[in-house]
Amino acid sequence: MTDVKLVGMTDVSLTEFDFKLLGRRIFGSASVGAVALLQRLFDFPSHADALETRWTVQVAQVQNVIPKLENSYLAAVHNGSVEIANLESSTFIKLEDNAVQLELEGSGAKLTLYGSSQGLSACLMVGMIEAIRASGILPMHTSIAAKNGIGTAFTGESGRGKTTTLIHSIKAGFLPICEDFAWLEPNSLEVFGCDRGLRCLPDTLERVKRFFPDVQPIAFEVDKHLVPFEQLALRAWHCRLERLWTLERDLTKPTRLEVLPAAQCVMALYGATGVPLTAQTRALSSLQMASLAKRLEIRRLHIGNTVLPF
Amino acid sequence: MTKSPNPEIIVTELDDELVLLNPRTQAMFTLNGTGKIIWQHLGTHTAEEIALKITETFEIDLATAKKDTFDLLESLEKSGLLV
Repeated sequence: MTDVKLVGMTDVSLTEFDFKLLGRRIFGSASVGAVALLQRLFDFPSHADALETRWTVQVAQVQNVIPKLENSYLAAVHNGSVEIANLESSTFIKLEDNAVQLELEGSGAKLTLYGSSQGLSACLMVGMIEAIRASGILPMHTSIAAKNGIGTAFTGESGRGKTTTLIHSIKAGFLPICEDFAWLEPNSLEVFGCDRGLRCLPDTLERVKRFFPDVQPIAFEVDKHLVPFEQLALRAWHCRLERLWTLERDLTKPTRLEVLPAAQCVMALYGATGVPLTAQTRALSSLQMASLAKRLEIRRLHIGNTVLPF
Repeated sequence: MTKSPNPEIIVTELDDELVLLNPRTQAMFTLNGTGKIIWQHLGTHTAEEIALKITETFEIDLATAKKDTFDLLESLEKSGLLV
């Protein structure tokens, strides 16, 4: 990695970076904060060359003024929302005075970063996910556990029990693949985890300690702790995904698994993979969802007052 | 002529139904077999022509097919799925 300072950019020190995620080359130069985010979310050496592709994602940071965006809309992201505008040949993702412009070409994507304050992080995360989604793999906002190489993804809105269900599965002998995020290769159904452990708020940490009293959590933010997966079980970075359970809570009834009609399977898949933002990724996603709805065993897990079905 | 499908809508085709996802609202809709025929002829046929096509595929009389078609068109329009 090399520090460079571009002519005319007196206030922003840029850092060059170059790494691979599942065969996708991700490179360019950006502010120190942006590069740190990219490395934390996308740089997993164990996955670097796990798939073969010539897809590239080039990142560049500029000091230009963000163009006026018309016909934009708000899209929900992890901790709020960002403004999305689809222009003729690119998509803008904007938050406050920051934006990321995504341009898709034949065998790659280009991300141009505007601004450098905190809001850039959300734009960059969304832009990167779309840039990589366009290469044919799918982001999965799920926790995943595997047994004998076969994975089950637990999905649902925040607070539905993704982490808790993962903890129960680990206690039942499953291996953790991820707690929050993974990439799915939709043809082979191979799924690659992108978390280094459980990220726990105090109440979750208490639950973890009830099952695994010997863990030694690492504090990383105010009130947040990381419990590395290696402290809970053998680490498995990838598996073949065969099941997806969308989680609901109703503690007044027994726990049960419900078979879903095909249309609801598609809805569950979009819930897990997110709404694609560009015309190209939308066309690709609709084909992928129809195929996955047939090939994955998709169920609704009603988490009730009896034990989970592991 | 009926209005056309909103090009932003993400359409997932299953065997005998469609799932429509509006990326702006993140709302999802499902269309059954009749709705699928209506959706596939939007923008290129009149409501009456679509109703006739429905009677050719399903055992349903024209009056019922017309009512189904107009009802669905109204619902699609209200949901921002047409332009």
